[in-house]
Amino acid sequence: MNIGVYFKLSLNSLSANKIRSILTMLGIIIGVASVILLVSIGTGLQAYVTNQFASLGSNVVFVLPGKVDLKRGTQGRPLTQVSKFELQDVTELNRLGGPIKQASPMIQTQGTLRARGESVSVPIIGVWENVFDIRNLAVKEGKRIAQSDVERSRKVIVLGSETSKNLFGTEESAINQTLTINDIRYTVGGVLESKGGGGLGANVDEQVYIPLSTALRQFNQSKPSIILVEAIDQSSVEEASSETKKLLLRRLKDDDFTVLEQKELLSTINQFLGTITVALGGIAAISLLVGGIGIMNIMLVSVTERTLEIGLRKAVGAPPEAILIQFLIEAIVLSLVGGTIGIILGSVGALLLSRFIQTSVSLWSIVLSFSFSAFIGIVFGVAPAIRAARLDPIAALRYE
Amino acid sequence: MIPHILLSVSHVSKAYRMDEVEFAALNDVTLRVSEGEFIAIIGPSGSGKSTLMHLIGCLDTPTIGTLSFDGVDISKISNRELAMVRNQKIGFVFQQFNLLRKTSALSNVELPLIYANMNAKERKVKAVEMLRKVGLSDKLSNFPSQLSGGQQQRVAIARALVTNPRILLADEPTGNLDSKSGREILDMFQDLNKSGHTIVLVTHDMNIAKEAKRIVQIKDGSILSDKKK
Repeated sequence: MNIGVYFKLSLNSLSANKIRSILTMLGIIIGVASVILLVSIGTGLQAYVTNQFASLGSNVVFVLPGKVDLKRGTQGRPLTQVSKFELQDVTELNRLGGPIKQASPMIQTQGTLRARGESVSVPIIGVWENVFDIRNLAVKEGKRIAQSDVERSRKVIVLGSETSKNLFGTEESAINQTLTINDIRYTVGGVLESKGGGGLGANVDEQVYIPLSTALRQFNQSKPSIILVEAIDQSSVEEASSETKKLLLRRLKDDDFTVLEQKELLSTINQFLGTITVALGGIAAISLLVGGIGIMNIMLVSVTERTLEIGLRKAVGAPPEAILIQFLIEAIVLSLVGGTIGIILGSVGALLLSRFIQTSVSLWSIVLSFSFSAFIGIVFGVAPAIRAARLDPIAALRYE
Repeated sequence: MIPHILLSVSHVSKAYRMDEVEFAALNDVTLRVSEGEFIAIIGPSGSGKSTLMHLIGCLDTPTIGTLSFDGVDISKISNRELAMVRNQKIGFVFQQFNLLRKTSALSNVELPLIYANMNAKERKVKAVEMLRKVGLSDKLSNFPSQLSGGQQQRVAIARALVTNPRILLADEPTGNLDSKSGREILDMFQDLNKSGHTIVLVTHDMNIAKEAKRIVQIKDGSILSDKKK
């Protein structure tokens, strides 16, 4: 018999038993689609956060107040630790040269902006003019904060694109408008270009920037809370980090500050996000298992019927291999069709979900879920056939 | 003219193992079937008559003894070759009809031809012709569930005969039928025998056995009597 005849036999059998075929495929579809979808959420989350950090500039070293040990967790939260940094430290870092291209002090707080009856609560960051270079922030409209703004403590503000839209409707219309922070009036000098990204975590597009000197006065502070240090290139990051540490140690104690490289921060965050992905993967694995049990169930329930069928086919002269090949083709067709539908559903689901959160369909999840489901489908489709094909036809016909 | 001996069973025994206890279903049975015969094998349930039929039908192999079909010893051949013998030389009719559910009458009749490697066109012609012969020309696309018991058994007979086998084996073919449909099936067997088909019918009912030209009585795994009319 040629393979075409076997295919015809199998397809006839599948279409004659539509409910059984559909239920079997459903197990595979649900298993594959859920794994692809859930893993895409985890991977998307990781990609999103990584991008957000990369947008800070990859040559940047962060200097935070207090002692932060990423491996053992923080002892006291770094941003609430009392800062002992002086502006003088930043000036010295800038003067140092070598691996250090420039340094910039920052102070960050949460505050409410009001304009034309609208109000938004956003992160307010007090900065020097050079922060825009270090963090790769480009203005879309207007201008950045200038050195003179910092020197004269002008009340100008540069808005993130989202905050601008929330307050003034568009980016263009915000320029030269006034808004207030705690009743103090500011003029919008510029609006930044969007960095993109969804609604998870800290949104760069919500942040607003005012001159550091203005911010210190506004919030009644005397010291910057974070120092950003930019290395001249990627390979000098470590050197810049140790130079910074050395300089600060002249004046401060070791546990007054922490110097963090971007990649340390990233790897810590990725570790955490990796855990989330694994957790999502675990949930997905359960649905894969449930789908697999569903497949087994359908296959086992139909064993009696199929054994009778096999007995009959043998009685009318089917050679042993004909039975096996037919059942194998049936199982393969079900697994392939079900798996493909599952892949399509999972991917389309991930695509739809990407309107709300970033998702990223990964190849390994497709391969893993597809091969697992196909394995279960084929094993439990063919196992009864192997057993029944070994039975004497008469035993198969009498099977109950 | 001496009729051609189609089937020869010599000194055949068959034992089954059930829960560690060996159970002899057949004990040293010898039987010859010639071409054109209509034989009834009769016996109470458990007498071994079905076992004998399964052996004759190459559905089962003997524990001891030899079986030859058309001069070929079939107690020694492989499963694959046995399947070929069943496909080409034997037609089965079962008490339970054993039709494939959710498969049309026509496809059920075509089934043995698929395993005989016949092309689709020829298959259909033969199956349609055979269903016409059993009077079901108007039921080609009906599923078994849409047919009466008698009609289902006629589909099964059409399936058994479609390969033009040398022998037709029927195991209690009227057991699941009302007396009227049973009568129709038996009449059909009579007609088939008249037109030259060799038939072996297994039953527990003497009235049905009387339809045959030769009655073989079997009890406790041995042949009790073998009478020709």
